[in-house]
Amino acid sequence: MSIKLKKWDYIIIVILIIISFIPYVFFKGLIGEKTAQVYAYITVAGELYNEIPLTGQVSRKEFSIDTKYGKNTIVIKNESIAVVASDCKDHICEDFGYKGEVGDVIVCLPHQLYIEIKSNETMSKNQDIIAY
Amino acid sequence: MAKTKRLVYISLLVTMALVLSLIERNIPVPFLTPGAKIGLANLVTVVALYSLPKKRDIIMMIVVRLFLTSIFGGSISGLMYGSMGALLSFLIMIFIKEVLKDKVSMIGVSAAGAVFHNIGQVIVSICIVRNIGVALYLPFLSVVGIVTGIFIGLSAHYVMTYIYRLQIGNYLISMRE
Repeated sequence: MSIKLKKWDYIIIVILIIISFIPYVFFKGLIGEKTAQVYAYITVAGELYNEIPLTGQVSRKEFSIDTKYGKNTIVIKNESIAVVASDCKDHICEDFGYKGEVGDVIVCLPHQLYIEIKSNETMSKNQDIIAY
Repeated sequence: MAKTKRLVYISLLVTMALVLSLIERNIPVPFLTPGAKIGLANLVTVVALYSLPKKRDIIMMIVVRLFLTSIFGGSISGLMYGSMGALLSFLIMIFIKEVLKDKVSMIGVSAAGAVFHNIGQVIVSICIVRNIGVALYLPFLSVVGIVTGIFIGLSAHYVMTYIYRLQIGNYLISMRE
């Protein structure tokens, strides 16, 4: 009783290969747009001040956050964000430097300024999926 | 008497599947794609598909196998992935076997089962991770699945020749007629 591949075996295998590439064809474009939408989430005194997308922000962009607590000058370049000048007394926020990875934070306590780098995706490139 | 024979045969199949999946767990995966498995337990499903005359018995065997495998060193999430994969692969194998009958050998049935097992797992992981990007991993899993499926089908074919030689094989054949 030896085994012989029949015609339908070949047909099934070809169909299976085609099926497995269907999601690749359909979702490829969709994924490309969605990946790595990293943005800076700026809050002052716990309230949302601004959301600035960092993805694609290569050129230098400067602006200031002027609130009743004080003034911070923010610079965005190379998809990262930094506080370059502050009129607070300790200047710790300037020491953070440029931050661009998801999860990074910049804080200016005297001005109650809090900048967090977030992503609209649950995963970042530095995280793995762990299956339990 | 017939019922006892059937139950013993189903338990034997479950035991084989359990042992095979436990052994498989300790085999280092020789493929480049993490998450790919040889799917030795599928061997038993294919054998059950071709030897058990009643579909209800096959389903019972699969369900018991899934639960026992997850008890013997699996996890709840493993059970979730495995059960969805097993369900889809069982449905497609039954479908192909019933529709094409003699036009298809065990190799085609087993390869289809392997790929649909992967599809089931990918569907569950899309639901868990909430990212459709996991689907892009399917081609890699499927290619490995087709290759292992062909070998599982081949092995199942040789196993079946021995099962038909046994008394129980004769009994099963007589029951089918």
